[in-house]
Amino acid sequence: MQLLESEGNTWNDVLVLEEVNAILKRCELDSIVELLEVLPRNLKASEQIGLQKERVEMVMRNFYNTLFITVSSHSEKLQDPTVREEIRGKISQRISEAHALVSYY
Amino acid sequence: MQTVENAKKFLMEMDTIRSNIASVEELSFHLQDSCIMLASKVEDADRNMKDFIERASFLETKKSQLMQQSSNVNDFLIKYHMKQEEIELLKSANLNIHSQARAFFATLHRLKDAYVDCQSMTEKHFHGTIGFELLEILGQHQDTAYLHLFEWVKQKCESVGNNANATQESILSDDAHDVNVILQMSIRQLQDIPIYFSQCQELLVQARRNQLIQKFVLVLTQGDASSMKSALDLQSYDAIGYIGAMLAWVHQAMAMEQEFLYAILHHDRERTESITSVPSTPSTRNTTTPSTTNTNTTNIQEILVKVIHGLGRPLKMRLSQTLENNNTLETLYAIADLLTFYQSMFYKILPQTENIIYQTVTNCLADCRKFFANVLHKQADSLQKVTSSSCQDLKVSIVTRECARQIVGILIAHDHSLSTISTNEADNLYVDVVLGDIIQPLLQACRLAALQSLSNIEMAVYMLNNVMFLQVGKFFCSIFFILFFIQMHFAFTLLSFFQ
Repeated sequence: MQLLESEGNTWNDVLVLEEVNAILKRCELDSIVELLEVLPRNLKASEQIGLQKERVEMVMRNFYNTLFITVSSHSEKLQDPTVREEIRGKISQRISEAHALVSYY
Repeated sequence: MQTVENAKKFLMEMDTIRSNIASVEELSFHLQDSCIMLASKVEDADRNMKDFIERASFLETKKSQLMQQSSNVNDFLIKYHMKQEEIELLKSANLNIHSQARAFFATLHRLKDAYVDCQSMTEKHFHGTIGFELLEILGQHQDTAYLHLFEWVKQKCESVGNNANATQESILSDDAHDVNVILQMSIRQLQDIPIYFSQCQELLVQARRNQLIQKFVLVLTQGDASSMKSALDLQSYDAIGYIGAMLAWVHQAMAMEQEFLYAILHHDRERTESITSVPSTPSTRNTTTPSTTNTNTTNIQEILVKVIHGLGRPLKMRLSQTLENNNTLETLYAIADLLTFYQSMFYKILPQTENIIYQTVTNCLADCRKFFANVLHKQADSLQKVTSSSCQDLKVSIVTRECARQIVGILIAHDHSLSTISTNEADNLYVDVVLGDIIQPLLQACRLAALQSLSNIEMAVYMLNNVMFLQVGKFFCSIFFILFFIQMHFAFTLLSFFQ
């Protein structure tokens, strides 16, 4: 039973990661998040290549559009409703963390 | 003239008086003679009386001496002489009748004591050949009695062996109990004659073995009429129920045989005295020492080994056939648990290496473990052949459903287990090991199938669906047992309320 639990947790994490990456990649927010994660603190974000104001605005517009578009994600194919909700919750959590990071800068 | 006439008259009168006085005088002489004669007669009588009294006291003394002698002779006869009716009793008493059996054993006890006393008397006081003649006569009576006893025991053992229709009621009835006690008493007496005793044991073993085999075959093929149960062989479609029923019957039969042999062959002085009302004497009292008890117990176990020997073959045949049927994994697991449990039970009853039932169950258990391992390996091999097409829809695969069913079956067997195989971590059939052997190949197969044709995200969905299905199966198994126990608790509460 511990084997099943660890196996389940592993694939749980894989699915969340893949779904989050897919959503962030669709609106190009993934590249923005990557650049912000490696940005040194003493530098201004809007002066860095790839983090220009116009580009960030465009990405965020795409992001909000993406949120309101109904996209059938793979997680809908999960048969267990409890696991489905759990996955959705984790995906939402990760996306909101990415959004919070961008908003902070 | 008047005076003369008066004188004549006077003389005449006086003559009369004189004659009267003469007669009186004569009478008085007679009387005196009579008195003298009487006196002499009284003296004679007195003398005779004295003689009589002396003689009477002499005879009285003589009488008491003779009475004492008579009592001594009587005691001697009682001790050493068998009356005709006693001899007839020793020769032809009907030991099936309680009163006659009691009289027989009492007489036999007396005979044995007489023989021992006569022997010591002969050794101490050598009075010609009388003692030896008496000893020989008593010995002949003993031989007759023992032969009669042996013939009865032989006939009783043969009737026990031939009575295949003996029901539990007839075995447990009061008459059967009395006969068992008489049989026990008889065999104990025959212990004095080793040849008879060993033959009795052999007869008993033969009789009980035949009876046991007959009963077993009857229960297997026709059922038990007394308990309205159908033939066990009709249940062969249900492997677990069939094997459980057979082993339960054999276990009960072994326990009953052990009790029977203890009742017949194990010496219990108080119980047999209370039934036969024969107090033991110093010459016959059997002092039971711990070593005697241990020897007796070992002897009974050896006899039990022989009695149950006949059950081994039919049991082995049926167990092997049932195991060789295409049983599912969970069925084999439950059977292994059952066999392990009964293996220890049979060893507890009879811890002897020649215990055929224990050997049979041990061998079948080894076979069962082998079959289980084979099925598990075959399953693991066949899982490697799961194709990628089976996972395109990302839903739970058929093999996962099958394995989940097996897991539920094994967990049910684990919760119902009678032995420790599923909880003993050192055992190959430890439940975690078994479940791991099912789940690991399954997960590996799912991964391999998914890797061939699915993207990472699809693979994650597919794996999660299969893993969750397995976990839910375990969850529902636990829920089932919780509900079952709640139901049982409610039923007991209701029952106690109405009582």
